[in-house]
Amino acid sequence: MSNIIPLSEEEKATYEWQMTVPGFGEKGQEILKNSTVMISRCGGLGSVVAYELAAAGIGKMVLAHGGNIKYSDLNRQLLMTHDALGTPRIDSVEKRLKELNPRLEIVKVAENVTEENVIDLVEQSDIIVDSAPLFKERYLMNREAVRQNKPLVECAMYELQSQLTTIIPGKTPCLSCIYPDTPDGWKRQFPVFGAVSGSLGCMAAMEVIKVLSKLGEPLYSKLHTYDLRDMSTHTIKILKNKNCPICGGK
Amino acid sequence: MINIQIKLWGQLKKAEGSANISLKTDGLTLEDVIKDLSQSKNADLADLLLNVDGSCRHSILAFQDDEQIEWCKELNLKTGITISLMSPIAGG
Repeated sequence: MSNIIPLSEEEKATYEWQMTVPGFGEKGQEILKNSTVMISRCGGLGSVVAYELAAAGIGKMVLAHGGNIKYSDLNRQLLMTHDALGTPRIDSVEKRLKELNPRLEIVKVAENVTEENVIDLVEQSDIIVDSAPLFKERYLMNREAVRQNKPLVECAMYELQSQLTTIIPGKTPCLSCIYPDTPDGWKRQFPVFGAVSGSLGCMAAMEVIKVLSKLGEPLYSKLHTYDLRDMSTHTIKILKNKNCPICGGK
Repeated sequence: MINIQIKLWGQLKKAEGSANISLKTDGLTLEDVIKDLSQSKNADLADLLLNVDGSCRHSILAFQDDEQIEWCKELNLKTGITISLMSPIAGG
């Protein structure tokens, strides 16, 4: 974000409601326009994060998601559509986001995060959103975010429950501090409603906006969790692990 | 022995079949409480709480009154308190 490109008149008109939010303003909007967000994957969670950030005026997204659209995606992956069944998910993601915000620049990656691509994907981005279903991908993004000193918004869900935290390397616990081991028996498919991923995706998008524009109080060293079955919420103070092999508890 | 309440989240709740359970324990640390819980409940729950060698899985996040419980620190358990246990979950 070395050379800030100012807002166009069209952008000022588009974002005039949110630019009146105290503490945000035109300066905050310019920061969003000149920021790059990486999201992996663009499923139930990532779809909603990407859509809300496209609506909010993020300038550029690096989006990683492999595979083709299946019926079982359509209960929650809101950037996928029935008429695009069998076609690449990432194409549907790009199409839907561009319909909402044609100014958005998209780096489209038709594969999931791997050891081979994670360094490059994180290098291109100012902030990372981890919404991937597999822990191997989640730990790769965490490791690389810590190594490159980039903020990471961690979001997860199960059934009617959700968890959200924002990791700032050197300041907060990292994912490996919170969950040091890959859980045995975790499967890509698990019970969840689209309304659960949708609610959490909106909150994760707000965390990105807050971190980038220095608005409010992001979930630093706090894990926000809620259960929509009984509408209970907790915001837990979480601790660094002094023996963390990724961040060293620093 | 005192009676405490355990609230289970995520896969732990699914394994036990209930979110809220009672536990009689005289544990001094979180490790002790989790081992007591593993012995008193079903094997599926124990599999998620313990490693094969019987040690506790440190990817279980525990908290009381919105404060994370550290594994080694001594607990000050009182009758009726609730300890929440979370297993790692992901996106999708």
